[in-house]
Amino acid sequence: MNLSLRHVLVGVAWSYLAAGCAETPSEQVYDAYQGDAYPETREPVDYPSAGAVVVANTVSDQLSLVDRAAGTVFATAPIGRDPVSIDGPTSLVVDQAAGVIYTVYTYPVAPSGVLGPHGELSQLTPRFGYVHALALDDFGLLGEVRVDAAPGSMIMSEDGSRLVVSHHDLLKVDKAQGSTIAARANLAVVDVAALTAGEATSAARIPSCAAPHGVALAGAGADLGFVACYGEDSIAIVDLNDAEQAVMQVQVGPAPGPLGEPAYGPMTAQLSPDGSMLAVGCVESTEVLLFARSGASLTAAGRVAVAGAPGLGAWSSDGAQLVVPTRVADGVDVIDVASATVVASQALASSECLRPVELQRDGDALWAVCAGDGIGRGQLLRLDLSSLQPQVGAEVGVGPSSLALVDGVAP
Amino acid sequence: MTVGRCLSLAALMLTACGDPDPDIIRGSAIDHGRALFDDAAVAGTSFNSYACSTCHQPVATPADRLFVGAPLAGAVDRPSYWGGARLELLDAINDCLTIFMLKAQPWTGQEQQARAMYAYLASLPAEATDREPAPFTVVAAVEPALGGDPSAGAITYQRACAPCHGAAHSAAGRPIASATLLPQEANAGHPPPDYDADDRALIFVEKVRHGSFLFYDGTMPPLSAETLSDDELADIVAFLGPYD
Repeated sequence: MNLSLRHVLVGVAWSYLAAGCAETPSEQVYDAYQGDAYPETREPVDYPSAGAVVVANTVSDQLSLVDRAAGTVFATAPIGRDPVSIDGPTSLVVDQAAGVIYTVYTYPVAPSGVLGPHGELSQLTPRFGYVHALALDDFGLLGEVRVDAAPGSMIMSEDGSRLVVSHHDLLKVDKAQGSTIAARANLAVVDVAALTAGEATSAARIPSCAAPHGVALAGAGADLGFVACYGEDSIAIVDLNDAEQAVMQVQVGPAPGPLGEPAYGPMTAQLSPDGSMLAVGCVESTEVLLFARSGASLTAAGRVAVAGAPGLGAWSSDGAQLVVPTRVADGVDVIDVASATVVASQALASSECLRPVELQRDGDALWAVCAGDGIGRGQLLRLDLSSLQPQVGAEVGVGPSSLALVDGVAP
Repeated sequence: MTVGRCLSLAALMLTACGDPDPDIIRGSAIDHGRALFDDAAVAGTSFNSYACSTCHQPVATPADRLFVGAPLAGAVDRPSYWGGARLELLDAINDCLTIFMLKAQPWTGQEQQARAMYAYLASLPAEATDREPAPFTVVAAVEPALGGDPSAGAITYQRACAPCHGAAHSAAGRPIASATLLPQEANAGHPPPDYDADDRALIFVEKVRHGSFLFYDGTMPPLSAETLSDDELADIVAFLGPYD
C-alpha cells in the first residue's frame, strides 16, 4: 500500500514536471513603430486677402469657401461625424480671434421617397445633434458636444464664452399629442472653452418652448434669450443662467394656431445692434414683427408684411433698417423700422438665387445664401446694399443654409 | 523512501517546474500590423466578428469573393477616403473600428496598435494609382431592383453575400455570427402591416446600399455603386425572392 502510494506521488510529480516543462509558453513581442504614423496631411486653407464667405452645405456635408472679392469658390472642405449619412451642418459661427468655426449637425429628415421603406420609418426615431468646433485654418476637429435632436439654430454670446442651440423638434411636438409641456424642447448652452479644448462632456439644458428655432441673445454672456417658438406662435424669454426660472412667453399675434399648427410660425429672432429692437420673422404669415425691447420686456412696435417666408436678415449698423430674404416669392425686402414698412424690394430669379434663407452684410454689399431645391446645388449671391442689384454669384454645395464671414489675412 | 519524503520530492519537483520563462517571439511593427489586420480582437470587444481583412484586401488580387472596401496598398498616401468624406486616414480607420467593429473608443493614433497598423499599411507595395482616392459612390436613393436573373444572382450571392451571411436560406458556413439569415430573418424583421412583400424586396436593396447608414442600423458596410452594380443587385434580389 505504502509502496503503491509512493509510486503514485512520484509518478504524478514527474507527470506534472514533464507536461509543464515540455510546454514552455511563448509570448509574442512586437517592436514599436519608430516612424511618423498618421502624419498631418490636412492642407491649411489659403485664404484670399479679401477674406472668405464660408457656406454650410446641409445636404452635401461640406463647407464652401468663397472669395469675398471675386465671388468664386476657392475651396471646399468635407465635414461631419458620419462618412455616409447626412449630418446636416448649419448655423455657422466664426470666432476669428480664436481661429475657430462652429457648426451644428442637425441630421435632417430625408424627403419622402429618397430612403427605402425601412429608413422612412426609422427616421421617425430622433437622432441627437452635435456641435463641432473646427480649426479655421484647416477645418480639423477641435472638439464636439452632443445636444438634443433636431438642432435649429446656433448663436454665440457677445463675449464668445457660450453657444446657444435651439431644437426645432417637430417630431416631439407631434408625439406630444397636444400636451404643450411634453412638446417643449430645450435650449442647449455650450461652454466654448471646454468645447474647443476637446473637454466638453455635455451641454446645459434649459427648457424653452415647442419647436423653437431662431434665438437672439442679450447680455455679454448671453444672460437672456429671446426665442422664436414656431410650435406655439410665441416668443419665449428665457433666463439662460437659471434652468429653474419660469419661461415667459409673448404671443406673436391675436389668433395663434393650435400647438404645432401655427398661424404665424415665428422662425427667426434678431436683436438690433443696440439691443433695443427685436425682429421676429414669421414664415406662415409671411411677416416680420417688430418689438421694442427693454430688459426682458417686449412691446409690440409693428407688423410688416413681406414678399414671402422671411429668413435670417441683416440689420443696418444704426438699427434703422433690416433687410430680410424671402422665399416664395424669392427676393429681399428692406424694412424701415421707424415706419414698420417695406421701403425697397428686389425680386430674385431662380437662376441666380433660389430660396434665399440668410443674409449677411459685408461693407456696402449683402451676401445671400440660396438654399435651392435640396437636390441640386445652391448658390451664394452678392448684392449691392443700396441698389439691391445682384453683383456676382457662385454655385456652392447642396442645400446651403448658413454663412459666416472670415476676414482676410494681412499680407 | 517514505511517503513523507515522496511528498517532499514531489512538491520540490512541481515547484521547480512552476513558472518557466516564456519563449519570446519577436516581431516587427509591420508584423504586428499584419496580425492586427486579420484579427477581430483589434476592436477589443467580443461583440465584433469583423477583421479588417473581412472587407479589405491588402493588395488588389483576383479573388472568388467580393470585398466591400478598397484594397489598402497606397492608402497611407491617399488624399481622401470614403468618397471624399474623410481627409485623414486615421479618421477613416476609426469609422471602421467604431461603426462596423463596435470599438468603444476611436484610436488617437498614439496607441501601439494604431501605429503598428500604420506601419503595415505603409509597407504594402503600391502603384501610383493605389495612392489616388478609391471610388466610393453611395447609392442614397433606392429603387426596386426588378428583372434580375436568379441564376446569375446565385453566383453573385456567393461572391458578395455568402462571405458574411453564409448560404442563402440556411446561413450555413456563416462566419459573422450577427449576419442575418437571408432572406428569412430579414423578412421577419419587417413584418406586416408596416411592410408588404414589395417593401421587403426594396428593403433588401436599401440595406445593401445603405448598410448601417441613412437611418438604417446594424454593422453592415454599404455596397457602393462601384462595388456592386444595379444589375448584379437585381440578380441577387431575384435569386433570394420571393419576399412574402
